[in-house]
Amino acid sequence: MVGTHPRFDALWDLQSAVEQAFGSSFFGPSPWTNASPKANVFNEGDNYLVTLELPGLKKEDLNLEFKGSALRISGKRQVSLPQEASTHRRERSDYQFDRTLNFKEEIDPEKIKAELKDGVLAVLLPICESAKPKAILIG
Amino acid sequence: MDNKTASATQHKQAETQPEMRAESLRYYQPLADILETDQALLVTLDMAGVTKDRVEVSLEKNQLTIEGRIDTQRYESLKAVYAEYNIGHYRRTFLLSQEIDREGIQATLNDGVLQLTLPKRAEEQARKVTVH
Repeated sequence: MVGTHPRFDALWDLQSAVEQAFGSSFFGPSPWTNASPKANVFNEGDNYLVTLELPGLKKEDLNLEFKGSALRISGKRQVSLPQEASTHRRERSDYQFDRTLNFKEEIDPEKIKAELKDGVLAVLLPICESAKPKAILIG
Repeated sequence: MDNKTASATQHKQAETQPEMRAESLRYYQPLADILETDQALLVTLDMAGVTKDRVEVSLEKNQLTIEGRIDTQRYESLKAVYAEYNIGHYRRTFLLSQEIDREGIQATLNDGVLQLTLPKRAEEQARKVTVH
């Protein structure tokens, strides 16, 4: 698979910008911690797409709700270790998280879709028709 | 070198540079747990976004290499507006101090977690020491 991925380059630049700003309009002024799973926000056409890397989590481990203009995602990961095993290295941690993302545009809550696949949570949030910019014809 | 050649060379450089940058940046070390039982080494890795057909595990002498690639097509129609984590493939190498029964290696991948079972060779399995 050879080729450039401008999308990914955009992600690098964006991440350093976010790191410098130490916060964002989505999460408010507080910085994230290592404990909470990290989120990316994309535009896909007229929709927002939020992704979180949550390896090992199942549907039952997650709670999603949308209220007002905010998406709240909470969940818990518990790494199960086999008994009668000694540990050489333990990097994968248990965690519990509760994050809220705020959206500036009005979201249509009825049309929000969420999918958990291969340890990646993807939430699609369509912007309301009424909130989309409209071209005005000069009569 | 005439002007035409010079501009062609410059154009080529501009084309190859971002590609090299993407290639060198797009691999990450997945987080891993390594446990050992009497019979086997158990290696577990977090590889979110990786599917079964995109995992490669190789054992060369005592060097275990695990590689998992994500499907970059999933992201092609997307425009990043906010990013906390970078998306990339995974690769990690471990040096094993134990002799492994290569034929018996088993791998499963569920919900972005790769679980490897590397059975020890019979002669490497711990013997119980009885105190007389």
